[in-house]
Amino acid sequence: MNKIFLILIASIFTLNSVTINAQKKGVDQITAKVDGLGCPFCAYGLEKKMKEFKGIKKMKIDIETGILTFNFPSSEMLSIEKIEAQVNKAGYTPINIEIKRMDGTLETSKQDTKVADVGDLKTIKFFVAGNCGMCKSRIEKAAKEVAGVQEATWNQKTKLVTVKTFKEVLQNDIEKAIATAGHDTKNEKAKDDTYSELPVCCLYERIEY
Amino acid sequence: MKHITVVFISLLFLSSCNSRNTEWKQTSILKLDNISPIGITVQDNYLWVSDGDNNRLVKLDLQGKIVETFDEFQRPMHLTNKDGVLYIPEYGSDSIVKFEGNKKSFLKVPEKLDAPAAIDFYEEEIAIADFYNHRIVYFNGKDWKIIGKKGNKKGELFYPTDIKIEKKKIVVADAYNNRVQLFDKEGNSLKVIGKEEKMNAATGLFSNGKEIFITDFENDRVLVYNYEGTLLQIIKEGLNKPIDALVFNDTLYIINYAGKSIFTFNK
Repeated sequence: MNKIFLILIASIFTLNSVTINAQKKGVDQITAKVDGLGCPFCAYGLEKKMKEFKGIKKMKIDIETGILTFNFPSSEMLSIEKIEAQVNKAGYTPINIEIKRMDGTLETSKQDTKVADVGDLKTIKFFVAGNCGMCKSRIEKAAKEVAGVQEATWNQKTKLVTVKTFKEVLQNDIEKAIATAGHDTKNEKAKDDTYSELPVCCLYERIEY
Repeated sequence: MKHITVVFISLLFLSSCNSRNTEWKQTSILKLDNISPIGITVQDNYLWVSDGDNNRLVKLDLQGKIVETFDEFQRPMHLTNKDGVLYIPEYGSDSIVKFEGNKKSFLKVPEKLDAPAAIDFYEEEIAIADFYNHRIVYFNGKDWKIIGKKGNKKGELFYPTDIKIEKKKIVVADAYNNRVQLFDKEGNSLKVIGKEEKMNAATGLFSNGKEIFITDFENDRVLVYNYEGTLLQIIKEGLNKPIDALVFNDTLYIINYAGKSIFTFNK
């Protein structure tokens, strides 16, 4: 009986010290999944850009899975939007972001939820300039963010994107969305500023219109 | 008539020998489990590979068997060795690590580097590919100089990733201009090689005074040129994101970043 009592006291003491330690540390734990980290020069570049966040600690990036983890002072209340903006600024495509706050609450980035309008699907194919796996992620994400687009697949070799979408969606709207993300398409040119901010491996040969 | 036939057969035999000696042929594949190689060099009959993803150096025997690993490097890139010392550019710490007898120290460079991607030596000369600054930081034995600036014209660089110093030339992997560029030691561009082949990220380089090997990363191939810029050979089969090359003891070693392997070739 005495033994059980001692173990119970020890357990409570250990649990308390763990909680106190976590509070002392005062950090939120951030996990971000970034798509298309195929080139080490770009992947390590992302690591450098993320370190520009003052206060970032224990950052790790798993190149194969594209999972980035780091701790950040809880008092700063770093938001998902800020992390997304920093990842985008570095030229990468965030897929999912999760913040585990110091008090144990969990915040996750919103998943894309598109409400489809009535109508049948159509498939369209058009040229989009790009180079690598990171370009692929960015192009496909930009296309899928257009309401009504169900699927988008960009082929690195042929440079053609195949989009499955509802009939009402105009090809031009998808091209504009992709150009806004930094990629020249058959009919839409990306802004020079946006192009120049792409990661180095994504700097494709510009299209002459 | 007999004489003519003998001469004809001899010529045929000689010409077939000659062609056999001009092309690199694959001889082995060394699998590198859990290693994502970026750079390769050789020292005392051991291969040294920088494993960028895992922040370490790996020492291998010539058959690809791991002998030892060394941790706590910050994104080690295209390494080299001189007089028994390994020199490792650290992309993550913006510095050049000297690694000798398991001890680390740093090479003093007067210029502030931003993501050094490669280093090479020739006698007292030193050249560093300074990736984010789009330039080569070069020590000619007396003074430090800057070669190149950001751009895509002749003499300009766009994210250089690898470098070799030769007796009279400096050879640069001008990675995202998708070409090789040759400079003299005053920093004048002598020649641009490889534009016709439409490379997609010319990331790794080896040159030996006879041939220039350039890894065409995204196109999964290695291009072999002579110094006039003539394409001699395209090595492609099985390569998966090749990122560096080395010729040692008449063997060509090509490392595959995504393929996690070393391919060897002989003539």
